[in-house]
Amino acid sequence: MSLYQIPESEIRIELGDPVPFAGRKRRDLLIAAALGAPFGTADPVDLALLSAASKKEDLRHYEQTGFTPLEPQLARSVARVRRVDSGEEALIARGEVDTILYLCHPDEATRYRAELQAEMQMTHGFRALGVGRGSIAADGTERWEFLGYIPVRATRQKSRRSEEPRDFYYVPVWDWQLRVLHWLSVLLIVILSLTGLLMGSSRFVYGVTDGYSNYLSWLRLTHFVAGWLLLCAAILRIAGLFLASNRFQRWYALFPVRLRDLKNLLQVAQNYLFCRFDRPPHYIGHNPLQQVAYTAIFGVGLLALFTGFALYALYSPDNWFFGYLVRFDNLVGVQYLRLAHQLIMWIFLAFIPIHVYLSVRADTVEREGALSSIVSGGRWCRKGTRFEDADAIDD
Amino acid sequence: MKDPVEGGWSRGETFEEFLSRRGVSRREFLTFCGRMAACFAAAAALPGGSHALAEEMAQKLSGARRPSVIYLQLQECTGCLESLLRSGSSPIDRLVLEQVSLDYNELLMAPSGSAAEEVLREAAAKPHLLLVNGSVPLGYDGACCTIGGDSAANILRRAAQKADAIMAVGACAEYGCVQAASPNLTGAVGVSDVITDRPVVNISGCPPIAETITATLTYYLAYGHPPPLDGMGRPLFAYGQRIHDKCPRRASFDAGQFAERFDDENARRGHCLYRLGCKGPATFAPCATLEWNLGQSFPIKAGHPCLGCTERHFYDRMTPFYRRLPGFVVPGLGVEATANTIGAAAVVASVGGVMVHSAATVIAKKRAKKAQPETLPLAVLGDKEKPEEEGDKRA
Ligand code: HEM
Ligand code: HEM
Ligand code: SF4
Repeated sequence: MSLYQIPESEIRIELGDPVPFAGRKRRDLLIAAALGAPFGTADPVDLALLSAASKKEDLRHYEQTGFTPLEPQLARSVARVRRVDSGEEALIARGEVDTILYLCHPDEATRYRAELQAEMQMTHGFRALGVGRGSIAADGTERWEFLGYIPVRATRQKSRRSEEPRDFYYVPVWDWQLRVLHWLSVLLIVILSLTGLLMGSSRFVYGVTDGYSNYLSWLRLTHFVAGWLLLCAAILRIAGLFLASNRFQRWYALFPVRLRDLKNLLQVAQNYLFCRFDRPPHYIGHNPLQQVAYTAIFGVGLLALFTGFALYALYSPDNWFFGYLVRFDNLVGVQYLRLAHQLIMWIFLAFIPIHVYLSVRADTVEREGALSSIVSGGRWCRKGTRFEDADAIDD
Repeated sequence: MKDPVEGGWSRGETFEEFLSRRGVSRREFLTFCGRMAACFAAAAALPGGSHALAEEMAQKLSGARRPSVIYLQLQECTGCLESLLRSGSSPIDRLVLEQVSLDYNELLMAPSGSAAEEVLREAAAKPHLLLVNGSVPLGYDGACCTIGGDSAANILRRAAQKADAIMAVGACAEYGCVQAASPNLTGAVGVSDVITDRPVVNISGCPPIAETITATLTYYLAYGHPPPLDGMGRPLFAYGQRIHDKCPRRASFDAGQFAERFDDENARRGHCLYRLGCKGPATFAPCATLEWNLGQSFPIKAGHPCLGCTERHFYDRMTPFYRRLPGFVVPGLGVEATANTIGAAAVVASVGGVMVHSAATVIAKKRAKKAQPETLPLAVLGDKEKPEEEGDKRA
């Protein structure tokens, strides 16, 4: 992609401090550089110069009477400018510093200094835009004077946060039902993991309980009650997939399979892997990578429920429903089911740090406001940001 | 069963006639019926108290006639029959075995060679009950187990043709047991895999408790149909509940008191054997209620964890016998790890990954701040479009 195809909004022009020569003021140099731009220009550098200069001087005092565009051999453009009130005319040349120096013939020391400094600018990633001013004598001869140069840089770097528009608008993302379910499930999963771990290795109490106690029974009871509640939460969540009016929560949001989503998935993955540093696509809901992770964790949750209840079913094999689960137990082998059940817990435990990290990261690094959205239900979106999933939201 | 005759077996001499001929008193007979009834009532699946049941059974059993029984022993170790013979039962228990006319059984019969073959042919031609010990090897065209030059599968099929009822006694006859364990060299299968067109009652266990065999037989003789079965074809009165639910060590399980080694203090105190690999929680068997050898003891009572021998494929699925959960062989390393080590490693890896990633994020941000990206081509300096973009790769 060349400079000319990049959408304008994504180019960032940085102007360095103008470096005036021959005792000029920075302000004059800047105004001259802006006046050297062709009338009606669309070039981003020109626009940046014009906007910077217009803060110093009302450019409506000037009027362009002629413009010689940049020629490859000469490598400079010349504008003819007239002050409206005094009628005074001047020529303003812009181009590479060498070219302007060549045009202006300043003394050796100025030349030397200007060339050296222009090269120094290159090492910082800037280019020097030389500016010369020519006054037209009454006999028509031009006398050129080197005004100085302005360091310029164009990048596609994303804009800094402070330069982004300040305006936000609020988008509700998650219903309170979903948030309650999320935090309820988190609580339940923590309880289930804790009781499960203790049930598996009772070392904690080993030797502590002497005589009669119901320690393990309480653990198991807690585990099973939490298990039943998790089942309720899952049923509600699944029902919500089909009933919710919020489209970030409907079932199709779980499967980012459109081509665009897959492309974005790749990009986000590259972003996370530090293979790519530009800004990942914005999503109001989840970006495809997050979504894939969540869909997977839903699957893991269902597996936890399934294996858990398959083990639980052993309590009552003649129950019509548990009977089927016991059949499943016999198919796989109860011990392997136990193993799977335990491994699933570890998948959850390994998922949590990553999940929390990515949420916090989404809030701080990517400024997507995810953390707040699972608490308050909505998030602030910057005006002017294009969201991949925002077709239905109008700002 | 072929047309189940309500009211019991009705061919030949009645059981009552037989018993009085053998000098068994009415009182002894009623005691036996009481014991059997208690056995069934353990399942609580049958209506009425065990006393009423005993009366009913005595009445029905008195009228039942002695059936002809073929007791095949195929690919097996004779342990099941040993269990039956050496159960230390009262004379009346033995009489239950005698009240059937055991026409053919490899281990117990007097005839041998072609005389024995002749007996089998004759018995199989008349209506009879078929009891089977041992699995049926189907590999190598059945060459792994032959009797009288014919394969076990053929012998079984012939004997089953005219049978009124088929009982698979022991884990081998149920599904193949140890022979069928991976890699199942002989292609061993159970009776119900060969006789697929008729119901087969499975008396699980390696070996089963003698009383479950006699009780099932008694029930059949009294009622003319098999007792209620579970999903695996096992009589519910014996296999309807887990050992764990009736275990004498259950109190210490509930208290979380476990023996960790066979010789530690907790083992001496008779605490639960769960952590030594007890499979009682997943094993449906009457061991804890009936116990072995006339209610003398059973493995868990004697201090040995349950191996789960009444569950299908216990040799593949209940192993390792002395561990609570199967382990994993870590590929490449060859060491065996538990789910907990693997899970903890995964959590550590995930936390570590999060830390590394956040550190990398900080570094990347710092570098992005420091880096001075080269400017894009500038039109005001006469640059032509360059095909490759530079601002893109750095940021
Ligand atoms: C995220 C959810 C869950 C987690 C993390 C979890 C964790 C665990 C753990 C670690 C164990 C101990 C395994 C062992 O070491 O033997 C266990 C056992 C068990 N869990 Fe869960 N569990 C979850 C959900 C459920 C659910 C929904 C049920 C259904 C009621 C359930 C029922 C059971 C049962 C029956 C056992 C076996 C207890 C035993 O065999 O002694 N679990 N669970
Ligand atoms: C076992 C624990 C957890 C599971 C299974 C889990 C699962 C999920 C799932 C599936 C979502 C997607 C929202 C939905 O569709 O319901 C989500 C969102 C979220 N979770 Fe969790 N979560 C867990 C723990 C946590 C914890 C401990 C935090 C604490 C910071 C957290 C913070 C968030 C945030 C901020 C979101 C919103 C992300 C967004 O809006 O893009 N989660 N979680
Ligand atoms: S010894 Fe086995 S069957 Fe008995 S309570 Fe412990 S785990 Fe359950």
